[in-house]
Amino acid sequence: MLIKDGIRMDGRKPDELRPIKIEAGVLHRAQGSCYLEWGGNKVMAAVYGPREAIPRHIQHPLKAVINARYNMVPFSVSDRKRPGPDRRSVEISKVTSEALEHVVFTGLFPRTMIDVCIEVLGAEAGTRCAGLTAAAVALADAGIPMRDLPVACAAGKIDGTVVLDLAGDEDCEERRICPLPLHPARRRSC
Amino acid sequence: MKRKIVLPGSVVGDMKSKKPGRGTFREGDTIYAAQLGILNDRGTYVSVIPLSGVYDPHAGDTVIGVVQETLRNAWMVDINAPYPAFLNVENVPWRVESGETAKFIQVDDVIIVTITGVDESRSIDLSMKCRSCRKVEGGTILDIQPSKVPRVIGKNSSMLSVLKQHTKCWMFVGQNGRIWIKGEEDNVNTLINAIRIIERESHTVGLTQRITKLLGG
Repeated sequence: MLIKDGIRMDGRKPDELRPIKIEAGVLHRAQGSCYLEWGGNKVMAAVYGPREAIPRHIQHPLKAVINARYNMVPFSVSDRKRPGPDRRSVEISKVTSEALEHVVFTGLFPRTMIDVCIEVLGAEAGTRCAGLTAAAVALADAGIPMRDLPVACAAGKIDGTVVLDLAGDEDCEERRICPLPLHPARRRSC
Repeated sequence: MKRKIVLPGSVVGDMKSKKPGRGTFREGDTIYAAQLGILNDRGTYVSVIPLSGVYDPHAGDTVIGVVQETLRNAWMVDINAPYPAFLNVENVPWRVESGETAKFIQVDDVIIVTITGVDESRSIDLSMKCRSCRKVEGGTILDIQPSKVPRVIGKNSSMLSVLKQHTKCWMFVGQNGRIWIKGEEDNVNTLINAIRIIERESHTVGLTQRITKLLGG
């Protein structure tokens, strides 16, 4: 039983998020950075650029290329994760890059690339949403012009009730989860 | 005077009363902030002064560059911009024969140059044919956020003259966020400390007075 009398196992209401802590400007060598704690998720995001896109064949003559890299460190989960990219992280990196491309004014920096590095230091369900939110804060910290500050949150259905920000056991047992990046100012999805 | 800090996507005005300026964009009749920064809505335009950001090169800017590569008829210079910058042999005050560029300026040399043009493919042309342009000898290079450069210079160079007068150092502030400093070691350290304070507290009011007090004025 994951939900009882409208209260979830961890005491949250269906539309209640886990506690969030965001700190910008934590890395001095990056143009912009962010450390985000979202429940048990601990995510560090760094932005480098816009800088000359290398190798040159990835350059776009009219816009900047956003190159997001999502990575879970081996100690982020209880069972050691094998280091390096895998199918899951490649997919999340691609989706994150595309979500950010919709909000960044890429046309202002033709032929350049913006590197967004997202490192998951601790994982407790919803790391892709936490990663995108941290990346958005890091981009704003880097002073990159954007249409909006995108945020993301997962939604799922537990025993017929739609709940937000699934955590721990909810995420493990419930497979119908939809992570959704949003434009808060426009009130629409990315 | 209270300054309002805005985030990307914040509504900063409407098209009925204002026009969108730097750091903003419009969608329909609404003007939004595009960058994290301080809102400036005095006058007809509403703009955002960014708190951070990369250097956006413009023709006429005087910048401090580091030579990256010597080519046959040009030097490739790093001017802290996302695009490569070229200094052609025709734009230096010396007569340079083809293939002899390294005799005049070597890799890792620091030069003060002006930007003569930025073309559509964002290639940057540089020139050393101006009074303040030269090859820099000795001293220290300090990197600050390019968006904080106007604060280091101040209104009518007020901050710059305070810094120079109280620390007795030679300094040159490039528009690209690089500052060249030369002087006695203690004075240079005091000056770097003051510049770091300016960078950190650039969004606050009464900074020039505070810096003057700090430097013992």
